Amino acid sequence: MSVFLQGLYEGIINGSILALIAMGIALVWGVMNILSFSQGEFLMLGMFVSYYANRLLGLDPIVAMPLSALVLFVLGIIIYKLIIARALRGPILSQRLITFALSMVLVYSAQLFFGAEYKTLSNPVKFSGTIDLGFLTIAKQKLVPFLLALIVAGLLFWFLRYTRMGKAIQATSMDRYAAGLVGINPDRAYTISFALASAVAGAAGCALTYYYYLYPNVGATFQLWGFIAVAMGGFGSITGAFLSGLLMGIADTLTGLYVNTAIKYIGVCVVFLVTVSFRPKGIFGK
Amino acid sequence: MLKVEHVKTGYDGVPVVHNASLQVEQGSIVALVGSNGSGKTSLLRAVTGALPIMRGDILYKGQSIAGVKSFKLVEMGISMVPEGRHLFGKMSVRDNLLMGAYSVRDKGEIEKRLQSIYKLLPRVEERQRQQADTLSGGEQQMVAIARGLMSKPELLILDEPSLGLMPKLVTEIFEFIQRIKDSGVTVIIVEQNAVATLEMSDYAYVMQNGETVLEGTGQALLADEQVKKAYLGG
Ligand SMILES: Nc1ncnc2c1ncn2[C@@H]1O[C@H](COP(=O)(O)OP(=O)(O)OP(=O)(O)O)[C@@H](O)[C@H]1O
Ligand SMILES: [Mg+2]
Repeated sequence: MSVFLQGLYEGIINGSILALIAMGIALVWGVMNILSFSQGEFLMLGMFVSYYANRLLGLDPIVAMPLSALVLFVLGIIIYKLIIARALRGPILSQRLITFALSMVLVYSAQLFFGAEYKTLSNPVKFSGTIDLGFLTIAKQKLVPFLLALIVAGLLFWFLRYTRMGKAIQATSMDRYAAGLVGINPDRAYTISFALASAVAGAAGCALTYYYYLYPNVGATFQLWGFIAVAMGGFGSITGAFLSGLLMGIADTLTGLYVNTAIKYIGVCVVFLVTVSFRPKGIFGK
Repeated sequence: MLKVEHVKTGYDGVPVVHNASLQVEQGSIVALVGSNGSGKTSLLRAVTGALPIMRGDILYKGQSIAGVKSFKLVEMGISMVPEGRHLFGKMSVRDNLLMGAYSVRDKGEIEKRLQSIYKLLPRVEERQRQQADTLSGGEQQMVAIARGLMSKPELLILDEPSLGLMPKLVTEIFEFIQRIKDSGVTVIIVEQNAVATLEMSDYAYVMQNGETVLEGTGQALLADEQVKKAYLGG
């Protein structure tokens, strides 16, 4: 039993990072119909912010998190204005593939600036230790991604539903033309959505550095699983992305635990295939 | 109030309106009629900042608004109810109306406008909790106009407000537009229902192949042989 619980817990933690990536992808897709292939690279950049904040300033990832979110938010705005906004005026295929090219550029830039070797936080972190519940041992650091995923999901929900900007984003996602006609600046709604998604990935990257190594290509796997989570949750559904991310983390960890670590990804794929064969548009797909 | 001067506009660099001019006096209803594909919608889109002005100019209260984006025009007092309604389908009727007042920040003011719209259109109030894309066509059209009014425009542009509605509803919509005009709002209207529209209008323009080719008071155009032949089925 306790092995199962431990596995479940680890699965939820791993799934939290996927959930965070997936929520960003779902937000961007839902609002502007762009597949955000660069979400994993924003995660990677968030990890580097955390790494350098730790190495140069001795900060814990939790403390560096607002900084990382801010840096990635600003970077998101710049990338949207310089690249995405232009691509949106072009043919549909370049709209779909633009973030793919962007992710390549980000990976190789990171390699150029930060080096390709694997890194872990160099200074000791203060937020550490374990909580022993008897039936379950919780590493405090690993709570961070899960709490972050919960908070982000809650904040996104609140933001989109109750704030003026959030409503403008929703309206723009339903009908960009009509949004302009009622006085919303659709381009601004797009910019904020893209930047928010990238900020979420930045914060997730911070959380990840507590227990994961970083290198320029670290985002690729998370990106791929993030996409699958979005497809499973129903494209554009943030709640769906959140739940599927967690579910995939659990499937992944439990398969590794009970079947074989070598084939643990198969568990995720089976869950995915089963889900889409019953609900082709995903759990929350319409 | 609005002056369109020799405007050329189109899509992706291909012009569909070649030379359109019109003038709208404050407090009047001006109609734009013409056969399908003559460029009425495109011209309105150019006026409301959704299409580029390739040549000519658009003056609003004496100021050029060529190239000004839609969302800015709303704050300047121009509101457009587009062809095809374009409601926010997954939002409730009420939320659609609230979005119409997006540029207003004062909550009390927004509520006041909402109530005065509900008074004008009790049927919209009955449906306020319903999701917009589940409304009937006529109801959707009413909501689209109501949403356009929520920004308290000085100039209201209506593109085919009676499209696809049964005759009784068409009459109702026309009466409603008349009341909007009586409240002091300037109206530009595009309509297939040429007779009823011309009867209601103070002034009208006829478009053909992307050009404004005829103009006159509604009554004069109704009597015009050319117009009768082409648009009034006689
Ligand atoms: N999005 C678009 N892209 C390219 N061409 C377009 C587009 N929309 C309209 N057109 C073309 O522009 C021309 C004018 O169309 P427009 O919609 O302005 O006419 P209209 O007078 O409003 O017609 P209707 O009475 O049918 O609404 C048509 O030839 C049409 O095919
Ligand atoms: Mg039209």
